[in-house]
Amino acid sequence: MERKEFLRGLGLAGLGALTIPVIKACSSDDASSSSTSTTDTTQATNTGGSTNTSCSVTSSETAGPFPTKSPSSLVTANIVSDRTGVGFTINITIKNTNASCAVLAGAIVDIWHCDKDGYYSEYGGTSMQSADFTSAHFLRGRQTTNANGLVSFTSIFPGWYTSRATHIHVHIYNASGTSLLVTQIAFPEGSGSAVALVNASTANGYTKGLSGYTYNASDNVFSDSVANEMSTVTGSVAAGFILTHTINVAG
Amino acid sequence: MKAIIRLAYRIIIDNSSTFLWDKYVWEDTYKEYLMQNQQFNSKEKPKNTFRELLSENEKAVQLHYLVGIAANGYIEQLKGNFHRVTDVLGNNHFPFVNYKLDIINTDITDISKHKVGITFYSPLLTYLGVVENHYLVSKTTDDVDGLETIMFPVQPRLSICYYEKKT
Repeated sequence: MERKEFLRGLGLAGLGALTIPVIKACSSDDASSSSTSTTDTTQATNTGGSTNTSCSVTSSETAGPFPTKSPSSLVTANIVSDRTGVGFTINITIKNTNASCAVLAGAIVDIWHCDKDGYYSEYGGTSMQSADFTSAHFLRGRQTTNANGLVSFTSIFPGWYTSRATHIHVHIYNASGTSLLVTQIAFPEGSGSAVALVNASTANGYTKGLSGYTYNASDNVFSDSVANEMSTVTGSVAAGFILTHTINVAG
Repeated sequence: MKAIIRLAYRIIIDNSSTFLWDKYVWEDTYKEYLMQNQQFNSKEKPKNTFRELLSENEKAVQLHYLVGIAANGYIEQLKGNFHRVTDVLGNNHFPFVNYKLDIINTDITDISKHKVGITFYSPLLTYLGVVENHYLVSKTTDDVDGLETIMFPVQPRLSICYYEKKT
């Protein structure tokens, strides 16, 4: 059964009759019959094959899984999964400092951020333990930069959690998967900012407000580097927000 | 005795795995590890094996989850039934609603060291006891008089991982 499924999976079911003896020749079962004997030249009389001459449908067999090559679930532009919140488009352009900051095409960009309540998708994460596996991954995605060095993700506006300002994590690799940079994207803050508007939007489930929020100046990650990690965020709660940001890497 | 339980079944996938499904998972989770470990590893002096990396940087524990995402597409192809574990009749497969991948060990310089486990978790089941060395369970968890039941043989790597007593 195992072998049959394996061969089917390879699309070699039709070659089974040819292939199986080859495999058998390598199996340990043959060790006991390796000594030469007269039976070696005896013609088989029971040769199997179909003796059914009636015109009827061949019996069905349990299908079992037929695996097909599947890209990682991480490779997706829409990273919302089952999360809710204010609509959010993330546009990141990658530039190459080793080429006078020309745009870098073909770079692999991973992003991840927390949901409106401040939770990441991870093992043991809150609200994940009893969840169905089909919604176990959220707000994580991977895209490859186009000819303009751009990747775009459709998401929901991230919430926040204790001791951190609103942020998005980014990991940029070259086309062969070698890490170029792990960084984070900061958000404009203060009155009239997207962070202020979204976190006031209880109608969209952002129930924490900004009481206890850590602003960029006090954030351990951004306090010394916020200038070049700061994004532009435009839009409205009703229409959703669009983040635009450029990241320079030594590609 | 009546209880609500969850069953867990764990498979091991390494370079000796022969199922095509296992091979795909093995290859793709290794590729993903090569990418994701860089987030936790030293660029100059990387730790070759996962276990070395984990002992140096405990945040690398996230790699179990991150690498597991690469297996997700293959898990979805199973459509909630793990065919290798059948009931005593042979035509009911182990139902699962969730899974967890764990990296047993791996090595960024040697794919043959790559070894992962995947634990499949069943939905909540009504547990009625062990009969002739088989878990007698029902997919129905409602409190009704008659229950459709299935019997899974007690076997290695099949465990009751959640138990809730019902009176």
